[in-house]
Amino acid sequence: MNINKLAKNALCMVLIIFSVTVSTHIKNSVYRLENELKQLELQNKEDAQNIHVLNAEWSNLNNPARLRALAKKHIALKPVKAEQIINYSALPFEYEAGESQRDIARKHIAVMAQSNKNLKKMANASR
Amino acid sequence: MSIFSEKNKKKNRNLYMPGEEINIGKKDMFAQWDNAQSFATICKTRIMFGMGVCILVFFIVALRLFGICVLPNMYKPQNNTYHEQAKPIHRTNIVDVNGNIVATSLPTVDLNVNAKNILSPRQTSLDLVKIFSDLDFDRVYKILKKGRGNYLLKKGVTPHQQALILKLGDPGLEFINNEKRVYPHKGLLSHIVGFTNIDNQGLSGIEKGMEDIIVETQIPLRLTIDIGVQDTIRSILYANVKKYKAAGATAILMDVNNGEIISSVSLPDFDPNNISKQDIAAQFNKATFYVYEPGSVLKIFNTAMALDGGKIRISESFDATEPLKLKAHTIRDFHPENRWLSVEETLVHSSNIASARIALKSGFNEQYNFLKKIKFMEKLKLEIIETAMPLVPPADDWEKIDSKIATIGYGYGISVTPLHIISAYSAMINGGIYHNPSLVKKADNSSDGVRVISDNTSKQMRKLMRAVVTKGSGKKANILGYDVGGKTGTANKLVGNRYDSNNVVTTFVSAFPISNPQYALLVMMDSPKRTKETFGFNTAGWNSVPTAAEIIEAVAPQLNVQANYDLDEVISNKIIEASYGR
Repeated sequence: MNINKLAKNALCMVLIIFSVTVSTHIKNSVYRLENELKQLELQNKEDAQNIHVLNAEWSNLNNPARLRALAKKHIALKPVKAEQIINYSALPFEYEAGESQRDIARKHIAVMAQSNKNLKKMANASR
Repeated sequence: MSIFSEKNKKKNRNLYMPGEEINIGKKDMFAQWDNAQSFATICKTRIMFGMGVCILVFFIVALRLFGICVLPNMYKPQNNTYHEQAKPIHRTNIVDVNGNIVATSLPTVDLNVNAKNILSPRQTSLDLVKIFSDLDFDRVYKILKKGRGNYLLKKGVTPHQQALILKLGDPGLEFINNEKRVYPHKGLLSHIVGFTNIDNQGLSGIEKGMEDIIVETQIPLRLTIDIGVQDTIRSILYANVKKYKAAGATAILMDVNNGEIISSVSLPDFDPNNISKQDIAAQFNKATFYVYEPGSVLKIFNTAMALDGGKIRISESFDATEPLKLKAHTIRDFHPENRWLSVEETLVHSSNIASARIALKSGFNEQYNFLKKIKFMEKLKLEIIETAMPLVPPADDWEKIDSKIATIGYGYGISVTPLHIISAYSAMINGGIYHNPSLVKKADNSSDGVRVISDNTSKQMRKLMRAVVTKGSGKKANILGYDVGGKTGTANKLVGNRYDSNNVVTTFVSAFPISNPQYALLVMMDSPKRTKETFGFNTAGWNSVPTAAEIIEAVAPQLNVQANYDLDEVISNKIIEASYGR
């Protein structure tokens, strides 16, 4: 038999075996991946449904009447009343517009110093 | 002829006589064979045929490979019948303004019986009756022993019950995925949200009114309601209904600048999760469906109409020295002042006589057109179906009979719902723009508004409303810090043919802060009783007004409405006065 022809035949056989192996491998891989994908999609849907149910449960637990009862039982805090919220103008500090704390302190010191000066003058005068 | 003849010899060359020479030529049967050729050449046709088959097979394989790897849609996985896929929820969530869920659909399963696959009808029936106490054994056994057909045995099976049924191991018991509508906040929004039937079809409220949107979209439907405020108002209203022994009550809190309803409570209410056990009367929405003669509250609109139409001036006075005698009717004051009253005093003392005079001075056309402008003659468009048409006198009677014009001026002879009143009141004090009430948040926060009175008239009305609270029947609502302005109304109910003063509907409609109104509140009490605490009185000033005051004190901090109580009252009043000039 011609050696070239033998070689060609052998090559064909090898290629045939190779392509069969590869295609089978691809087929099995695809099948496996498809199953994996399906499982993930199902899991995803179940998780979405569980989240949905948990959201409903969260809303149930956040019922204002329930929270009010729990707050009354466990916390000393009460709802804020209007008289507890005051305006800035009602604060007991004499902050004039544009003056910093340092300036006010300086003004007070200056006022005090003047007052002391006047007292000293009066004391000297009385002597 | 002999087989040995020359002719036959030529014909039957297969036969050779012994000793005869065999001549092998091209004519012989092996003539086409070349003894020197290879086996492959000899079987050429067969080999070609075989190769052709192999090439065809590999072509098919290559095509399939192409389809699997390159074209994704060609290959679809088989459904696994052993794992039931979850059915998507088809009714979307309803949420409040802050995103808290107020209505949602939860997955449930229904128990279906495939009678053909039931292994042991008697034993299975006994087991099912143990799991579901409301099932009747005879009925279940009758279904199970039929031997064929599918029957829905039980709707809404809990996961625990489902686990018990699976433990029974009977292949004839199947589950169908379904969904159930639940309301986590129970009766808090029962009249607004409504409820569905067992087939998840809306029957009332938003569930019915916006059924198409709830079913078609997956985006949660956002309401304008705040459940925190709703709960606060409901609990205060509930306590006061008990305190004043009223048959029912309603409270509506509205944003005056866009008509959004922040809260709407109607008592009695019900739990939409257990609808079959509820009283039908509890399902009646007093806020939007209860049509009644509101009484003195309508004096607001009577005054605004006359001022805006130029029929009266704010400095004008009206004779209330004696009852007003009309053709078929004499109009009297509840607390007669027996003197001339200014416009402010008309509202402060709630004078029927002066209001009637104002109405008569305005005339039928002015009154009719004004009430039409503020939608007192039509059903309000709201996202729920439970809205009512007001009751007005026939136009002919109305025009011709003075007493009808006069009585409408102080709130009798016309019946409207609380929603009509608060929507129109908001327009009187927000600068004169009427906004349609709404329960659903709009995507672009836009609000359609129609001017019904001038800005100047609105300012005058705000001052008058404040005067009612500081000097008139609304004193109990004069809360420190929130300059509340409003109007009371006590209307006798028609019992038989006459009005009964022991059976009243009291209303107080208010806004705060009146110097720069943000919210309007309406409180209506149905048949509050005379009690020891109210010193035997059942008028609005003794029940609706203190209830409204309690509600405003509780919800104003929740709504971030700033209080100005810490300022000196004189300065505070000056600020309020100055705001009217804006």
